[in-house]
Amino acid sequence: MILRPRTEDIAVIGYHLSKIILGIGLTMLLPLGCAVLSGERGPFLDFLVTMEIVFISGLLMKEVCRGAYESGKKRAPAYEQKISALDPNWMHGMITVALSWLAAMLFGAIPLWLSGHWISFLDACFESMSGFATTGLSLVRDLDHLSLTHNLWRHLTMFIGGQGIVVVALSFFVKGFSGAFRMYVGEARDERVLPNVINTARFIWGVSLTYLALGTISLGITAFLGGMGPMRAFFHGACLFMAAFDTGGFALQSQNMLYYHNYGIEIVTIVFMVLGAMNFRLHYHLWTGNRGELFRNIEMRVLFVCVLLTFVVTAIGLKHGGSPYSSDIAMLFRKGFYQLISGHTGTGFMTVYAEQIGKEWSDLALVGMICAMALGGAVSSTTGGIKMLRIGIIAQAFVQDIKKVIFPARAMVEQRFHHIKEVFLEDRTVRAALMVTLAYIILYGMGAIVGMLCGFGFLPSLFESTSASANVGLSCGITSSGMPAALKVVYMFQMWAGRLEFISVFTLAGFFLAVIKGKR
Amino acid sequence: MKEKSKLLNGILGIAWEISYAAALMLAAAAVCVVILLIKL
Repeated sequence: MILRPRTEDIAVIGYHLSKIILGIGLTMLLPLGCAVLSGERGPFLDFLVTMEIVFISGLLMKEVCRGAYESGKKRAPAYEQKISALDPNWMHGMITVALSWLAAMLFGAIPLWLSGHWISFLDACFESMSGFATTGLSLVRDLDHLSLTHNLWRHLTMFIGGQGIVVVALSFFVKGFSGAFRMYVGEARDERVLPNVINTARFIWGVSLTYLALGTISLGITAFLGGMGPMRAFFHGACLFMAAFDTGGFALQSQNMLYYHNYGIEIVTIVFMVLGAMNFRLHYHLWTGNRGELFRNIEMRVLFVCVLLTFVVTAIGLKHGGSPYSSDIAMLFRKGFYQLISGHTGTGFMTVYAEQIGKEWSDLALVGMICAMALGGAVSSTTGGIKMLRIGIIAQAFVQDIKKVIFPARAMVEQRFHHIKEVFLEDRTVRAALMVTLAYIILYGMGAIVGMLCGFGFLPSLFESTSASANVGLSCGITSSGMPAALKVVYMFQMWAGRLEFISVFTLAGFFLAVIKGKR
Repeated sequence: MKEKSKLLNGILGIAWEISYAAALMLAAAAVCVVILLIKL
């Protein structure tokens, strides 16, 4: 029997959601400051209006939910009244996270829509979800004339989403509370770096801000040496870093990475894309002296092998497909490997035009790219996709099963892998890895079917669907402001569900089911 | 002293991470060479 949620449940969810909404509003101070410094009056007003809407909505929601909770509690039995105040349980935490990402999409879309560069609010929502989910698919029109302020906001959404919206709230805007871990897990981060979840969130920000400084300097200098003016070079450096490290993939120019046509920028962004695909827990161990972990860790080993295997397939596909750059080593690296590592880490930077992938790349090259995008980077990183730890666990389970067949029937077959510490392979670990992998495969397939229903071919549909679900952002030409609205909505759902790794989304669906069909 | 070693560990950690990315690029470059040189 499903129980209908009580008013207090909705109030607790709404109360914490309102706090996160207020946090999103505060992050808009940065583009507001940028508008003041750059003298962009229109964008300043866009963000001022949005911040007013966000703060009024957030504060109203907070007060209404607190009031509803207090009045609901007075009606509750005496033993329930003793239970602690507004701390969320697992269900509350998961639903708050799922709704937070939808709220971030809606409020984050307002300034974009007001800019006039998106033809509808749906397109602005698509862009906003793509940013927060670190996907990088874009529906913007005339990107080359978009204001600095709006471009900064687009990249900031990736920086916030890459770390996690709840992680942002936990780090800066929310004081410690007992439900913090439940929200942290709901955001597809099941590994704590430090025992305390608030300290974990702050460590994640520490890594990101350290690399933000390094990335802005290194990319800024490279762009400056490439011929850009100093201010512009460092602005591009900061935005490129945010898009690379957070594996987002938004670009400041419509030509994406082709605009720079600079070997140095391509190499530096590859480095930051790979760093962004690393587990934050691994960053912690490497930064605290446990450097051997880099070679022993199952995720880093599997990532190395998967990148090379998928690149071999893609490179053979490019060579046999007769693409224009299939006979030159340097061009194969710049066009083939760059796209592959961009896809594997879930970034979405492109050194070719989207239409080129759709028209010039052979089917085999597309299959190599689709596999790379589907696999993704490490868990507890900023990437999407199935993730290396799960692939490693499934591979270990295969090895264990083969050993069971080969070894004598009485032999005890134990399989171990190294992930920060030695871990014995258990059935429940394999089951969990397989469940999430299956959910991703269904999500990839679902989007591909909708793409085909909209009239696109099988491989392009699967390519675009995998790109959206695994939060990659590479496109073979399907994603544009002119594509069917249904496909836009499906891709938005895929980006959201793929980023949250399903559990929060399924919990939200169950909650709505309980509201409709549950019994008191 | 403790702060100094913390900083050093951090810098070495970053260097290690960058070297992983560099190794990946080198391996990919080797794949490019092999794929283009051999007839498949």
